[in-house]
Amino acid sequence: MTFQDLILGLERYWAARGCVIAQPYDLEVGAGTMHPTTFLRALGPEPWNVAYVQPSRRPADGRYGQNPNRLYQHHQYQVILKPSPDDIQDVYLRSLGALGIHLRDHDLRFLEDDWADQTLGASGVGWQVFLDGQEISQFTYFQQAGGIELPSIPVELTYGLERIAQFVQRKDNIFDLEWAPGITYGEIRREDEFEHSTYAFEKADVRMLRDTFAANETEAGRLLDAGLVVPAYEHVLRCSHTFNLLDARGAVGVAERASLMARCRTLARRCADLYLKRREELGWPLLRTRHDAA
Amino acid sequence: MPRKPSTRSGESSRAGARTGAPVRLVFEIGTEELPPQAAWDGARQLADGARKVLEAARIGAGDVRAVSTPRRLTLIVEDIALRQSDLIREVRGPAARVAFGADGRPTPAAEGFAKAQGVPVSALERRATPQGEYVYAVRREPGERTRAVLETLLPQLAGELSFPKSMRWGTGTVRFSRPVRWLVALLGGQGVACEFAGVRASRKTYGHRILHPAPVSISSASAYETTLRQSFVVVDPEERRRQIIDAAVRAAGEIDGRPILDPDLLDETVQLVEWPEAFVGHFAEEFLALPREVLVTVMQHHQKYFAVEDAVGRLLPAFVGVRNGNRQGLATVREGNEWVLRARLADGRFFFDEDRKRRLEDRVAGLADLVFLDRLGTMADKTARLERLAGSLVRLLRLSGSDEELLVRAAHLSKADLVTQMVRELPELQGVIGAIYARADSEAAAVADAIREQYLPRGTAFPESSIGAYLAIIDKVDTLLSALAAGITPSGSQDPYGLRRAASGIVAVLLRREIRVSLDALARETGVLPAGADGERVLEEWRGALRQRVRAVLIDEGISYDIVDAALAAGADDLVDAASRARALWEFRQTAAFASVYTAFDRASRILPDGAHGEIREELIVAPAERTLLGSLRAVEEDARAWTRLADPTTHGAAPGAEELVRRYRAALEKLATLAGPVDRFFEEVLVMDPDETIRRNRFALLAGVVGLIRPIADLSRVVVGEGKAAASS
Repeated sequence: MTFQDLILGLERYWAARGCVIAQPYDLEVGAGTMHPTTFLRALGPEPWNVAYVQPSRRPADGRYGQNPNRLYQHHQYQVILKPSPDDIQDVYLRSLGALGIHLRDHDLRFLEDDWADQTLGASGVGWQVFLDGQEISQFTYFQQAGGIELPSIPVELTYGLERIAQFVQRKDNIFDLEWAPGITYGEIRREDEFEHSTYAFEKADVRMLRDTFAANETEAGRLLDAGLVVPAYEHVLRCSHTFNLLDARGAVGVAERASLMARCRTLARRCADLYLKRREELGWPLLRTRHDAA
Repeated sequence: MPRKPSTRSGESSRAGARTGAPVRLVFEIGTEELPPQAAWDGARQLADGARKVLEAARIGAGDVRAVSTPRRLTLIVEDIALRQSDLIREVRGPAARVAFGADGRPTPAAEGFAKAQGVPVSALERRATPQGEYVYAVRREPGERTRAVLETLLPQLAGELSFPKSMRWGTGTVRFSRPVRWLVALLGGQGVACEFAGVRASRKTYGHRILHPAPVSISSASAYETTLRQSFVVVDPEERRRQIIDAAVRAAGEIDGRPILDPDLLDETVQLVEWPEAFVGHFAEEFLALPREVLVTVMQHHQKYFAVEDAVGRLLPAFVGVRNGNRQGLATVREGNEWVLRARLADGRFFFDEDRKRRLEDRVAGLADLVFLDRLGTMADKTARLERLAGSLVRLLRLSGSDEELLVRAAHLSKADLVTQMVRELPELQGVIGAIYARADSEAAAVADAIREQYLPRGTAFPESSIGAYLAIIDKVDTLLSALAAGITPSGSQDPYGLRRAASGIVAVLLRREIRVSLDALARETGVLPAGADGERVLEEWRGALRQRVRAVLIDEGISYDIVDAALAAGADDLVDAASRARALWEFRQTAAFASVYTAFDRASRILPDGAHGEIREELIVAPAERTLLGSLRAVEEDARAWTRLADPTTHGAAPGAEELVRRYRAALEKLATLAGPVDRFFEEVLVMDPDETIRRNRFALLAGVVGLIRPIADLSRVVVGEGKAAASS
């Protein structure tokens, strides 16, 4: 099974189970959770089912394309189901079956793993899913987002696409994965990995990044004052990624680190508050739709 | 006047006879995968809770226990009565002579009482009581059927389970460790209708997630374990533990090895599988070049494998994995796990090789980028403080120059491994990795050992080396004081900085290694105390934190709390000294002489006005009893100077060990007992409150002398004396 077969299989599987198939967010993010279709829509009582691939950038994890298991940018397949369905574990396990993984021939574990994101003020309870000793997914019941207790609990499934592909294809090296018939992951991504790592560790202009952080922070605040949730949130995402770059560049001291994260968190909380207010003013539209349909 | 009703349980035999023989109760809470600790704790709480609740509900029961798997907590009660015992309610009414006339007929008083209690007058009973004969109304309220009672009791039991971390799911408001997905409640062959967390109980359960995905119906409570076994679930964790051990030993035996059955990993593994099977996997021999600790940690903590050693304890290039399932596809499972471990070990070797490119020494500078605790600066700051504190401890303990060199060096390198790739990857190996790298850098063995031991005590592991013990102490002293100085204090169950553990560690190491040092002096040497009143406040919190820990340790030894408090009230700056006084006093407390010393102290201190002191003027001594007391006092004072030296950690030349200290304090207490007789006689023959003030003051001074001799050993006013006191004065 090629890397793209994996993605296609998951897209079909979750589309058939009523998920909106969304597209990757077109900004730099560190995880699928940061996509507004997860972070914002997780809030409030409205039901929401969505699935998408999210290329996720972790500048500090870059290894110039040299390390067989580490990437500047990896790919997550992200599923959000709100409220969490009662049979969600079974539905998840059947998705593995749909990828051609016959569970009777493997060992499957749900290992306790709680999750928290400091910059988003988000946290949840759940597991890492292990298949024959390999972590293939994160399975999380969100409890909080933007510092707000959630009234309707979303479950988040995050498939580590490279990990699963390595497992299925039995490749020790990510860059040897077959992405599509006849072309490898390395042939598509290795040069980008090298360049991004070089940028993040050596070339990034610290002064420009600091200015960028400050400018985006100011802009986010201004947009929040103007009541524009998503544009404001996008500037928070830019702050977050800029922080990650500064961190990778080794430009963030210990005291500053906590303070930059707190500044992101404060803005994320304001976005969450404002989003909820806006949805309430709109009368929770998706809630009504579902009631009408029922 | 009717009295408050008293109740008692009636005989249950009648209820049993009416509704049949006792049966078995099974109550299963089906969940998504519980954290192993929650599975263990949840089952324990369920059984404990059930015992209490059943007794309170007057439901007779035989054995009450609970079993658990990753997906269920199950209460099993044998021989549960099918009916509550009857409740017998008795109310005392008027006196018999008021209730019945001379002719034996009930009076209006009796009629009124019977009516109020809802019983016929003819049913009133006359009973003799110590206050005379009274009339009683006895009402027997028949017990309800157990099945009906359980409908509310079982959900209540489930709702009372508490977990360190709980969650919500769906749109529900109930919190539990993980989502509750089904309930089974069976009383014998019958279902108990109840509901918890939005789930209705039935006889439907689930077997093994993969081997038996379809729901299973349990015909009756007695068929519970068998039915689940047929669905590939062994519900009893102890049975699974035996299966895992057997399977692991067998698997390792295939390659003439034996599994290292780490108890924590075993506990965890038991709650990760419902149907255990083990297999042996291999890794390339070349990885054995990695430190043993690294290999074992990667296998145990990260992959949940049991490491395997040969007959002489050398690691083999193999591991035992435990699978949740049967043998189908076992070769695939082994291959997958081997593949994952290989990647992990390859990472480990990469980190090791990278780390070894620089000496540990060269990493110390990098600690400036690592935060110690929020608000508390960096690890570089901490390292500098530790080096200074090492010098201070050397001075306070009068250690040799060579010890000083080793300790300061160990302090300098102690945190350097925190910025190695290996510790970033395997944080649980902090200290251990530092020691390995220090050895490889040809640091002194004592330095390497100390680096390894700095985070001890942990569990049963203690610092074995003296330099290790010193480093372990100053590391914790710095952590605790830095946090207190920054206004961080543990509150309730919240102790995110591990301050209580630091305090316990300091106490444990000082006591165990009998290190005699002034805690105040040590605190002042850290250099983190703020100036002025704030510093005094921090110092008080520091004393309090350590006093609380040493108190717990001594009480844990079996010494009663009042004896511990008495000893600590007399001083707790040198913990070895304080503990020795407590132990000596506790021994002395068991002897007859204790009462006499106590009485002397008690009588003397009671009569003394606050702050009474002053020189004893021999020329004012007139009465013979005074003279005798003075003589005894002078005799004891001679010895007392030696006790004072015992208590001072800075003056001991050849410092006595704890055992010797206890012996000497015991002797001191015996000596103090010689004052008891003269004190008694003094109080009998002499009037302390002499009208002449100079005489009165002199007598106070004499008694203050007595109290002053005892007080440095223990503040006896803290001792709780019950019957012993009366015996003492006779």
